[in-house]
Amino acid sequence: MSSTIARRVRATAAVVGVALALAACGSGTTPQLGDGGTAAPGGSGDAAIVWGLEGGQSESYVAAVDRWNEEHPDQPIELQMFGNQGYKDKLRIALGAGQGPDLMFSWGGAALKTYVDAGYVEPIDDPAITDRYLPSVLDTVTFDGKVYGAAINNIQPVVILYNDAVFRQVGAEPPTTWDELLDLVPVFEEEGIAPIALAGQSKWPQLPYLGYLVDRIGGPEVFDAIVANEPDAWSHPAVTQALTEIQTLVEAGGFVDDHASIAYETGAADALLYTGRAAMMVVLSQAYSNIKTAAPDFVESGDLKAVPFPAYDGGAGDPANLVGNPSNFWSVNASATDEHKETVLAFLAEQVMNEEYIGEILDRSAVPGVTTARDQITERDDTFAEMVVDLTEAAPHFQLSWDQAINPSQAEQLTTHLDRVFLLQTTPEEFVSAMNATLDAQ
Amino acid sequence: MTTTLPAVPAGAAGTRGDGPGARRRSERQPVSAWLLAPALILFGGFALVPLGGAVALSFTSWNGLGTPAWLGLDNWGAVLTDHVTWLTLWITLQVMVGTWLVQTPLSLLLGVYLAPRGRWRAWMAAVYFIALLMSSSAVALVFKNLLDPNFGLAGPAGPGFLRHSWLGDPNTVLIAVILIIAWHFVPLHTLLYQAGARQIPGSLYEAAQLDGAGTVRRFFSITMPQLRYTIVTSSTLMLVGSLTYFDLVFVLTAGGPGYATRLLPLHMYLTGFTATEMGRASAIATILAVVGLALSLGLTRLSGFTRMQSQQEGL
Repeated sequence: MSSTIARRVRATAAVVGVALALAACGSGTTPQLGDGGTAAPGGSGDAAIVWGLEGGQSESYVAAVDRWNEEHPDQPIELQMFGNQGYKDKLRIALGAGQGPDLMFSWGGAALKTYVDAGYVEPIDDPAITDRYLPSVLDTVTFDGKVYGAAINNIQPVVILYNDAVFRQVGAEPPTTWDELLDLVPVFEEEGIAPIALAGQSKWPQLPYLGYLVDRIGGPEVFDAIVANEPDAWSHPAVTQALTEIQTLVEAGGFVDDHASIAYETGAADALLYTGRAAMMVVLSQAYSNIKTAAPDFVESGDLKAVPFPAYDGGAGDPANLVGNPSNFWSVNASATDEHKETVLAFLAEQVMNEEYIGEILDRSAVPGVTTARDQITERDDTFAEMVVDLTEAAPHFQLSWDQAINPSQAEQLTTHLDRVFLLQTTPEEFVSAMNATLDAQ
Repeated sequence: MTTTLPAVPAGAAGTRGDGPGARRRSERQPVSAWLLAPALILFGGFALVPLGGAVALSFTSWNGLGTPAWLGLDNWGAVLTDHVTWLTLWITLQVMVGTWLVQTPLSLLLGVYLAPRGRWRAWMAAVYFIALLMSSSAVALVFKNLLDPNFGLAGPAGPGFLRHSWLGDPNTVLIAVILIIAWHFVPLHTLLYQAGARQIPGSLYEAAQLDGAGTVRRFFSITMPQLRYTIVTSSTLMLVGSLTYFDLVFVLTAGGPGYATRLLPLHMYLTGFTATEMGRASAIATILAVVGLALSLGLTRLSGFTRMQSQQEGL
């Protein structure tokens, strides 16, 4: 019974989420709230509003809110779920109009910082909430020494997922250096297998290539200078070299032929990997959970494996550095009423990242960014989860995805110009001068 | 209707029969301007005021949060010197002309075909109409999956002639977009033409038939001239409407690959909401409004729509 309800809630949430995303793209005149997600019992008009985003771990948000509402009928919480597309616009407009949720879903980094600077986000002081997290997770939501978000899902470093059956078929080993990766391209091409699946239409799956290569070649300082808006920061030779390597890989036929028309959300890129039509994918570790949901038999067979992004011969960066999304967060709206603030803070402390919540995330082979997860991981004997937590703990530097780390205006230029690099429509030099122009604009 | 009007000055009325004369008379009759109020309030509140707001915002720097900061003409300079603005305008023009060329003949022929009464035709008209009832976003999602180069009809499992990365190839993506837009909007224009064709008196066709005119001759000599204003209306809707294609393209391609399908309205959205540069996006919005206004005014003037006269005088 309860699972039927949960399924219905999820289905409704998904439909509403998509509808909202689409409505946000359309006229934007229709009232869009109040008809989705987990309604508070009794339908009280004074529930604290929480916004969540559909994703691999969103079932846990629903479950956490359900548990809370069961135990605290006097402090109801209403969870409203959204689709990815258009959510950021919606949040920005709602906050600007003073109609934001009490607890908002965010990515941390530069976008959250603009909200913090504009006074929309309240710092979280409660050590019961903040002390649980790994330093690399807290870093993305810490500004001026204050914590502005509580992580609610899993640490997501970008790794190479690969189909081991395909590797056995051609008798190859997963790459440990960038040159080995390039050498693998003709091996798979010969067998009619695409070496790397890439969801190019979504644009963000292209970013880790640049992020990792620049870090491997020049070290984290190169991107730090870009974030700091230092003049001509994009002109660092590591950037040009990284872009050249990317275009070498494209020209060699490293990516699936139709990468420009594949959107990640449709699941086509994941499917290429688990159907054996592509050998590898450079992607957020979240994809492992997604594939586990879409093709459980394939994951069960043990053929879905992972290695870290390869080292770069002669590069200045530490090959143990990671790029990815340390987590997604819930942040407290500064203009929420005191009662609602109290409710959502208690909710974060009590129901988010408790034993049950951590267990649910681990069940999906994802790793929550909390220190308290280690025992449960060891108990479960989950190789992928262990690899993710080992990589994260060993990483000297965990770089937040570039599009989140720089301001939205620069990020839009970055994704568009990088897309054109992958399409071979622009040269590394043109990319550098276009991106330098965004620095001048600040 | 004309009989309820108060007395008309003698002499103003035409002597050429009641129908057209009465129409001219009523035009001169003063009608209370208050009748305009409901439309004016709606139009003012939801079109003019926001338009003024966009123009004002185009002179500011604003990221959607806090207070806009006065910037002067900087946004306009940036937008007008940015080659992407002109590129998106050019792509919009291509889509505008392309959709008109594809949709007009299709919907004209379908509409004329569906005009005569008959159960079979009514049933078909209903089927054709379904495409219009779907939301643009749903249409885009369906086509995106159909055209998926790996798992859709355009993939190895589909028919050979479709085997192409339609949405991923910068050379074909615009054609795909134009055809999908046509699929979505042809039903609307078919409906217009169907209604227009039904207004044509049967006696014209009977007379032509007696004189020995064939189907083709009747189509070009009677149907087309009689549908003149329907063609103008439908074309205006298509051309000006093409300045608003956004949802469909956004979901289908998000403007890519590269800049290949970045239409002007999509460029406005990406600038305003993804890049959060509301001021610059407002400048693009103003350009969009000016182009749209110029286009519809130009079209009505060129086509003589404003001097509209009865096509059936003397019948």
